[in-house]
Amino acid sequence: MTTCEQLSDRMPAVARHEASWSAEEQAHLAACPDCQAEWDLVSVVTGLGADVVSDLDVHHVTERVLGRLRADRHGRSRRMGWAVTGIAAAAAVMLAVWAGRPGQRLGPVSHRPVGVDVAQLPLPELDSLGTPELEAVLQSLDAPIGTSVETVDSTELDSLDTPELQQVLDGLEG
Amino acid sequence: MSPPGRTGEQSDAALVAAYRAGDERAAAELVRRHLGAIGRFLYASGAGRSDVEDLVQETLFRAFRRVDSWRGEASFRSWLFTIAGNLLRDEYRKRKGRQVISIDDRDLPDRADPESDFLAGEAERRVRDGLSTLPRLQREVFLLRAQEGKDYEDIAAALGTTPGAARVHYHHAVKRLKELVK
Repeated sequence: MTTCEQLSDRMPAVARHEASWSAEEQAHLAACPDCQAEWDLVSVVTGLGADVVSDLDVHHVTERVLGRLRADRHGRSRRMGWAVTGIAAAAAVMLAVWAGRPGQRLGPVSHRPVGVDVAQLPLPELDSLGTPELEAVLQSLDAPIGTSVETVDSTELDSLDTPELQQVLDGLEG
Repeated sequence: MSPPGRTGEQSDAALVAAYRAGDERAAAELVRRHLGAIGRFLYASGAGRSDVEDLVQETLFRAFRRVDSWRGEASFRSWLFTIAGNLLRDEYRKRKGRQVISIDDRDLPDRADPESDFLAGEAERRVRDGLSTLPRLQREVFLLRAQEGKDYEDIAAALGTTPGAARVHYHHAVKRLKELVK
């Protein structure tokens, strides 16, 4: 014997034309006002909005969704690129600050009379350097890779003559 | 738990995997497959006729944007409905509690037979009106079951509840709607 519960469970499938009522179910439905009311409800809901979605342009919706997804992916990869650049820049600044701390310097940098970056100094130009600059170069050669004599104390610059100052400037400019 | 689909059709899960691998045609097929159901769900849940297309687009965009979070516990369509439901709730909040939808005569379709169409339109209006008064979970369980024919296991997985609780929500919704619609 068909119960209201069994009929209720079958309603969505029958309303969607995926199944049909048996004779026994039809008889129950005809005699049961509660099931009839539920069946009316399910029947209405099954078709609800069918005319609304028939107006939807599938191609248009698809293009817009895919277009937005492409734009979103592009935006995300750009943001990711900026984030990586930012992290790299921040790391470089932190490294520079860390390397610049007094405790991190190897050798008596403050005693160096002149700042000359060895890597930027062509060898023939060594001939034109005075003793203080040559000492600075020698000291910087002893320093670990990545450290160089970058700054020059203003008091020590005072002892340099014009050609020597020019040499320092040239060295700084590379 | 994807529907098997018609013979020769790829399952939703296979299409999702293809899209994740970069195949846009798979996404286009998923849009074609589910667009109508999402639209019906949104309309039945209270979306205005003129808002349905935009809401469908937004639902699909949100879904594909975070498609990695669909793990197949519920069917893809049921998962889409939860996104559509969340979207509708967001829209409702944005409009500060005003109806997202206007359930009035201008939302009713034009039909050829005025009398029978009026009755059909009236029944639809009452059902939509009744649906809009249901608690969200009851409404979504009812629509997934009555409109989409989903089983309670799938509904429960999509909505984060149990099959037994989903069945109870369905019957509460039916009882309440019957009272509102009669």
